[in-house]
Amino acid sequence: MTVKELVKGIGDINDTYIEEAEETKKGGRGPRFHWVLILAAVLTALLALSAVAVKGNWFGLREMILGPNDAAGSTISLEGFIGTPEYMASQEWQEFLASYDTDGEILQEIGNGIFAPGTSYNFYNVYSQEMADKLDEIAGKYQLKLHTDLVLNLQAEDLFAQVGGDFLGENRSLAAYMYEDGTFHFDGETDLADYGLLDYQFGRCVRGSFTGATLNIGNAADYTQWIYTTRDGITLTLALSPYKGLILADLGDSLVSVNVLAGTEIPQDHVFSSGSLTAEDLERFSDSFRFSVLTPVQEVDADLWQPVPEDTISPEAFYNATGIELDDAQRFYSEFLRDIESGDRLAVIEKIPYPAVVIMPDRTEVRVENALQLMEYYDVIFTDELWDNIMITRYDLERADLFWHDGLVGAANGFIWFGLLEGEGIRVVTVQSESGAAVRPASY
Amino acid sequence: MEDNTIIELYWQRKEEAVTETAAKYGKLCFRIVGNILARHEDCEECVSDTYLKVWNSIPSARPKYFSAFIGRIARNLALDKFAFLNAAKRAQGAAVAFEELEECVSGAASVEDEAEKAHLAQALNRFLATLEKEKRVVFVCRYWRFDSVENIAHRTGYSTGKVKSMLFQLRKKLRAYLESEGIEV
Repeated sequence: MTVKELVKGIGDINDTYIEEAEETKKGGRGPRFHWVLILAAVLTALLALSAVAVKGNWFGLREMILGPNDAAGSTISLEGFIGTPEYMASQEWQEFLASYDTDGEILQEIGNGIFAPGTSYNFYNVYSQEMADKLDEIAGKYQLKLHTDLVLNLQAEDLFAQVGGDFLGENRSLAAYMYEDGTFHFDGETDLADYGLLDYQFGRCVRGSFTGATLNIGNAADYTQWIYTTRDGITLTLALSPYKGLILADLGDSLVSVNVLAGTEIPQDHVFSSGSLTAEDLERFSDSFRFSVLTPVQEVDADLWQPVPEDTISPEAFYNATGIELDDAQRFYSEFLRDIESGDRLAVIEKIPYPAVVIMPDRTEVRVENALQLMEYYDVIFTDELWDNIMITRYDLERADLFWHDGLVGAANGFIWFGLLEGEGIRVVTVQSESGAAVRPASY
Repeated sequence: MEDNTIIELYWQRKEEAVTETAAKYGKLCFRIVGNILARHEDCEECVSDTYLKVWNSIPSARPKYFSAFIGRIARNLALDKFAFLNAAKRAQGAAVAFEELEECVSGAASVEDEAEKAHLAQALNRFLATLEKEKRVVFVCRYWRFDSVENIAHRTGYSTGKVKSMLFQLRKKLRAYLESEGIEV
């Protein structure tokens, strides 16, 4: 590829990214998502914090390890030390997960469907009633609450407002998310004096709730750990391995962990850091936070959970342009998404008028006379990428970012279009995926 | 004036549409083309051409994001002109950004038809979707709009060193991502 080709390609990126960059100048903020169901991705980020950190054997990493320290590495609980309800719940949940649906058959059967949308289970990657029952049993046994709400993409100032102040100093947070009890997590980065760029993942798990947050640290024997007291008087456990650093703060009402993406043997050109990290670097990094701000845990402002106002659409203009009341359009679209989520494929494709034309990724076209014939092509059109576009344009379970053009209502960044058809009511007229596969009425 | 109102003026073929566009987005257009072209007269010509092209495009287009729509036209026109100008008439910022992007490609022509262009654009969108918003903004500012590193630092609040560092990492990630998508870099 030539630079010119690449520059031209960059010129064709989605308008929303250009608009987003423009908004930054205006101090614009990213969208807040309330109760959206991209939680699998969020949880994956939290649960799958990657590998790697103890010579020494006091109250530290060893007391957080769940299960064996074997070749696959150690997984530690980020919620509590051994003996705490949070630790025991985490251990039991992890044991259950390790033994459940080992061949992935149940998950396969469910496909893209979401189990019990809008419930606490969505925060725990639960996809069957059996898993839901086990989660309830564990939470009940250890008298822990399950999370009920989550806000994504919290900016630093919002985060500070909820936890009692600025605990970051010169460090930066990128798109934090927070649960209703003040448990939060974010990826962050800093320019550490006398070191350079350093990326990290910061988490706080509030006691009394079950989050299921774990971290694979690799071989625990690779770590050197020690006790360090910060300038604001908080005692930390610091741990450093060839590939990772860890900062752990037991604040009584919460456990704070910082997963530092650098270690003693990191090469200079490392993507997440500026190379080898020393114990002194880790101590200076620890001192750059004000952990004391994070305790006691403050009650989260209830306003944080209020539904986000959708883009300012004039209902009158919407009706004039589409012939559909905005509320009716939202209702129709949310029902369509519920059908997709629940895996009710027939209900999904029955919303499309027939005969229809399926356009394949190679641009060949296939005419289908009815829903049953379309069923064969369902997976070609209703892809993960389409779902991603649905999710990032959804405000909550009832409302999404809708717009209009040529009398039709557009959704999911324009990958879904519906409209009022004479004699047929509201119908989905086009669904397409990023691969180019699409379905549309044969009459269009 | 609201974007929808301006667009409506275009649909009604009222010349006021161009005046309102210039009032609202003239600065944006000049900034974009100014990042690519060095001489003021080239920039003025390019911005005028942008208004003409918008006039000819609406209708039938009804852009949802008007600023992105007009910005893209300005960028493309400026890049077309950039290709025909000698080095002295090219803005230094864009030239440096081009050099930076050389790290991501081999230099051999490979994007030959519309399908491949579309594939590349989709891959770039997916790549951008994988990034944190802050990094995405830095990338777009630098390689879509050709803003200087200093300007991006001012806009985002990062140090210039931080911006350079982020861009370096982003270029590495971009190349790896395109390769993983099966795109011949």
